[in-house]
Amino acid sequence: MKFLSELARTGWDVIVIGGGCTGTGILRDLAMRGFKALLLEQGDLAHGSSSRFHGLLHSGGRYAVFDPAAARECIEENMILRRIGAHCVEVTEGLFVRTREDDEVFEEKWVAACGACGIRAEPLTRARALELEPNLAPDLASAYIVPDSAVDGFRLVWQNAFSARRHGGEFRTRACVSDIGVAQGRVTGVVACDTDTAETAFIPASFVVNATGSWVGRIAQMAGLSVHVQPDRGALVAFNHRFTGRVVNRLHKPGDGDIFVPHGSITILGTSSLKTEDPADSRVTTEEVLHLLDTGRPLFPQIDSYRILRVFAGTRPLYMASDGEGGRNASRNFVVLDHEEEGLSGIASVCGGKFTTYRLMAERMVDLVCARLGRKAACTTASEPLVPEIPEELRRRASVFFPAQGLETAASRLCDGLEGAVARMELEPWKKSLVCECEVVTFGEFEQMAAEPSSRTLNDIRRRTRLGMGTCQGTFCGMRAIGRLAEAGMPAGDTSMLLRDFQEERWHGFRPVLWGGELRELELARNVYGATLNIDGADFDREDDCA
Amino acid sequence: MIVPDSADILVVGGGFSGLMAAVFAAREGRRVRVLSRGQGALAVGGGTIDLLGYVPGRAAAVRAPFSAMEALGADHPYRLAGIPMVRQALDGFLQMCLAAGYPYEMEGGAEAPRNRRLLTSIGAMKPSCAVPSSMSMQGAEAAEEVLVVGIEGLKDFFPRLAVPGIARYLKGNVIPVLLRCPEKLAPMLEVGGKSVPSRDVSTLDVANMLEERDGRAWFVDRLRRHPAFARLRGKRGMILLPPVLGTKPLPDVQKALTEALGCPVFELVAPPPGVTGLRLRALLMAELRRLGVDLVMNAFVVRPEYTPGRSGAMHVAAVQVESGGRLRRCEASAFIMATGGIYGDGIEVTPSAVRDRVFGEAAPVSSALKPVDAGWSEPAAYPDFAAGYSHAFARLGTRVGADFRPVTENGLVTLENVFYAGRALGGHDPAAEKSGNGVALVSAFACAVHACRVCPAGSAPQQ
Repeated sequence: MKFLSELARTGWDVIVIGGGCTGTGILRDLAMRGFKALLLEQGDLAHGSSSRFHGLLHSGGRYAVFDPAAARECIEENMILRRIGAHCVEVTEGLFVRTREDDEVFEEKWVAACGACGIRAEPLTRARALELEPNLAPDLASAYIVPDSAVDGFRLVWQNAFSARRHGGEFRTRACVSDIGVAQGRVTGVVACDTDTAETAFIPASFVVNATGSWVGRIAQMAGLSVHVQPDRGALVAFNHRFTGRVVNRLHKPGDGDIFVPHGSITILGTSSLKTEDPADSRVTTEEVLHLLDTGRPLFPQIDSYRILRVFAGTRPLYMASDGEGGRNASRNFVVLDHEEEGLSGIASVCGGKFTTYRLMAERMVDLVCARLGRKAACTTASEPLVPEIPEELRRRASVFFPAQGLETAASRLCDGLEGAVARMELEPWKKSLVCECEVVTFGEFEQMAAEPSSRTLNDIRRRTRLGMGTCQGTFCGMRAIGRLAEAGMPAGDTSMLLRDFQEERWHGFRPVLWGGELRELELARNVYGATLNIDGADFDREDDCA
Repeated sequence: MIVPDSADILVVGGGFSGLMAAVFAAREGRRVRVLSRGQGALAVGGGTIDLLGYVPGRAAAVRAPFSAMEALGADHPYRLAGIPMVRQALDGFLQMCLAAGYPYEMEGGAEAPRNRRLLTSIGAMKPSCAVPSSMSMQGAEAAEEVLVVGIEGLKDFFPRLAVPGIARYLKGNVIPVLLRCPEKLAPMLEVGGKSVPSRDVSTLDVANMLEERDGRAWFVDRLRRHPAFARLRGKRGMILLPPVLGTKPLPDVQKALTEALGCPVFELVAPPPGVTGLRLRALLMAELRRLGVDLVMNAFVVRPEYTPGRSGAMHVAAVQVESGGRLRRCEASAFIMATGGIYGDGIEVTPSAVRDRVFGEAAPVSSALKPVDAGWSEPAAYPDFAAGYSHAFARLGTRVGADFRPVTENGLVTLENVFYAGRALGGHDPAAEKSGNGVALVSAFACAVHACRVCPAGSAPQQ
């Protein structure tokens, strides 16, 4: 990655702070409208809330009754993303299912509200619903089909970042903004610090965009501004089975644990809602998981027999204009705050909102930047696909190593890295074999993403490739991946430390659900790394040493 | 041979502890039957006898396991068995391996064993006690040039990953060597104008190849032609491999390679498949055949049958067993449960309960802790054992008394003719202690001794 001091010498029009869906969406929009833009992210792209949610591309059905404005935005953006994001959206459709425990009156209100918001909600007979989703409770009361879909947060963020790069935008990860420069009522740039090397630099820019989600208040404070964002922690459960082919929502007043979203070979159940002070709060408690299972059980009675793969949590950045209501009742609408109205020019914040509407949030923000920097350029993010068509020549070369479906998957993960991965396999064809069997990641893809300048840890590579995110949760591929890095002479630092960090990160996701099949898998991992390889043990005492 | 559906001793579980218990009991003249559901953890962890590598609260690895055992909790299987029994178990094991032509080596002998240092494929050291000659690293301290040899395409062994760590423990130069994958290992495919192995290669494949004369010839030839091999000329050399020195419990492959390469060849500890464990398993299977022990594969207990026992305990008269889709009833005078722990499925864990898979409440687990309770696990995956931390779930298992029969919290025997061995036992954490096969061996011996006492030879129920 570039030194921060080098980035400081470039004259930037705009610095975007925050590498989630909103930040990368803004970077892409800025780059497409001709701005010289740089994105700074304190951790890795998509390491925050943009990958810590259920991956539901909302139809808007969930918000139709209580938040119709958000519902309308959802359905419009949903349709746009299906067009531009074919490589990160899986068009699954969705069901709203009322169980015998749920209020019938709410169903009537919901049907009317969907109609008013332009969300197509088609009633299904019980028999038809069970035919579509045989694992649903056989005694369900009623069901509707809506245009929900599944979206991969990691990929969407990466695809936005790569698209922005193609248009001249730059991003720099592991760059934590520690201060914002202000002179004569105007923001002059930001102070950024490399979280690994501690290199610090002041990077000047004409305009600063604060797109940091739950961190928005903290960043605003650095410029002496007050923005009230309440982080709201949501926990989720990933199951090692795709027991539903469609998104399934419980048709009741929105609550915890009432959404199931299928992704590839897994299903995610979400979400809890708990106020927190720490934007990085990713705790999950066993009680929360049991509560989520309790709410989900009326929809899928066999829920306890599905093996849990891991649990995770992220924070929703709920915006409160004043002392509004938080939690489930806070609006999912977003606002673009132009701080010039408070007397400080050259900075704006985007607050609230949701993953489904990230593109619209970006568009509104960049409209404001255009107005403030006196540029006229139309937004084209709704029409240009995130991932360009694979050129015919590359497709032909890649087909030697990938099966047809595998090629699409690889293209969606690697974006512009596909050609590099193919070139690695052409040079050494054995690299078409799998480093991660569960998630079907080849050595060629793995090495390509490991060589990407922003990959500093095995966890970074995991987010880019899905390595270690499948059934074995890194027990086998973790060591294999580190071994390959060592064998390829890639700069990987202390390999045993990397391996341990990777295992500990995975542990964080099992710890609240250590029972049944999950605990068995964990015991296998402890057998391999603890009992067999002694990853955790010290040597004999030196004075006692006779070898 | 037609086997009656009754035995003196029925061993439930075909892992290391189950097979050892069967060997020990059969040697005492008992008619023994083993029910096995899977292969046990030998195929995962390998065949070294890690007796006791670490004790809670002590950072450094244990040199003298017997004295370190005093620092273990009173409910630890070693404390229950006592040093004399540990000694007899080790001795019995070493004698068996020696007689079978696949000797294990142990420093200090069974009187006062001392741990040795094994090297692992991630470059760590592991304290172990009794190891096959192929892993003994005899003369390692004198080696001036050490080659760590892998094969391209062999998936889970990377010389360059192992070398930096290994170099810390050896005085000589340690050099990584990667040989190109031979056609013998896997049929080759033409991909992009080059030939690549058509499938992944494991240590088991290489072990099979090296068992064949021409496989060995290929290996020796390739290694001799490798530029790094020249370093060994005129020096004291040593070659370290992943566990690939054959699949049979014989020293032949190691001997042949050592001769052909002109320097000692040893195996490192590596992740599954546990080739060295499968070798030990093959040895035990042969031993059981020799002793006339009946082994029923793919069999698991569905229901025990009880009769009243003495002093409030219950007596198990028989177990109903499902095997190959058919139910059978197995009577025995004594039952040795080597059903495994959480991984082996002997212990079943739900959010709100932990129970023995076969006997449930009748074989109480060592603590009332369950997943919903605080303290079920530590915040780190590999907590600081040197500070005394290990996972509570890992120490969980059947609570037994000094004769390895299940007991209540107050020490009352619940099942008068049932004995527990191996990972099913509570009070130990093999992943932290490095005591897996050691506890399996010692508890198997203890169970055999105690089971034989309640079941004099030839006392099995008549047909």
